[in-house]
Amino acid sequence: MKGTERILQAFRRVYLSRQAPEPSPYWQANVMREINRLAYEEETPWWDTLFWRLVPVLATILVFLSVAAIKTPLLPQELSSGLFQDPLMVSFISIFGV
Amino acid sequence: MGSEPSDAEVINEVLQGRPERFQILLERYQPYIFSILAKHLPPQNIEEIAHETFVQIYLSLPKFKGESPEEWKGWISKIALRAAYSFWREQYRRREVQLDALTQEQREWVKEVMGRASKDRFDELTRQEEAAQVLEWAMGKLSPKDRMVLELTALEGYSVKEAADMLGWSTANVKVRSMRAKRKLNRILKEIMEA
Repeated sequence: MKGTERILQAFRRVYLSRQAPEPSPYWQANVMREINRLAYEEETPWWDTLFWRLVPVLATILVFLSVAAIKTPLLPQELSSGLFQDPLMVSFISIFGV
Repeated sequence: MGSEPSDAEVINEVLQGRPERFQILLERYQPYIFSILAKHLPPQNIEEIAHETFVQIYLSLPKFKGESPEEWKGWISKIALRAAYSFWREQYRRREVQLDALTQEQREWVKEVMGRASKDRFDELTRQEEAAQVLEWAMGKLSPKDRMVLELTALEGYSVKEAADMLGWSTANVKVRSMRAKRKLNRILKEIMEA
């Protein structure tokens, strides 16, 4: 074990001489951004967070349903005409309708 | 004339809903946390784990019950050490620890250090770049637990009790780990000597 102790002694010198690098310029700002995000999440009620997470999902579903409805002859004649025939307009109405 | 707020004052402010005041603690203790992590991690991973450490410090603030600056420093250093340990555990789990065989120069370095080099020669050997390379290689041969224990006890000089407290493990566990890690290191070095 004497040889191992000598190796450990050599390792100790290298180990203790390790220097900490300077953080990159945006490091602190990145940490604070995450801290602020966590603080905001702590303050916001769960149902509020859930609602805003569901909004894009609901909007997407509505867009798909609307486009599918236009492409099928199941809708009444008056709905399959005019504005509702343009998929872009349907998307717009669905998203802002929500 | 306003004086600098104490750590306890800043912690109270953060806990009372002013997260932006955490910036003061971040600026004050960034060099301290970086210096701890620099001992245990590869240079390219220090920033990432320091980031995780400060986020963990923020999340655990309500649990901090100490009062003195020493208690605060001890508490945040434990969080940093545990983050470093988690890093190594993850690296081993993903098998990302690269262990190439030692080069001829590195083997010669080991043989010379283990032999009876004079004090001057020994000092010179510890300054050679092979020293850092062999240290990394040898630590990579150990498990994450053995690595942390050996670094804290044999290299940093903490007592078994101090290391156990820092890592949140039992004293018996650290003692056994420390002996096992040294024996394993001894076995690895013997293989090099005999090769």
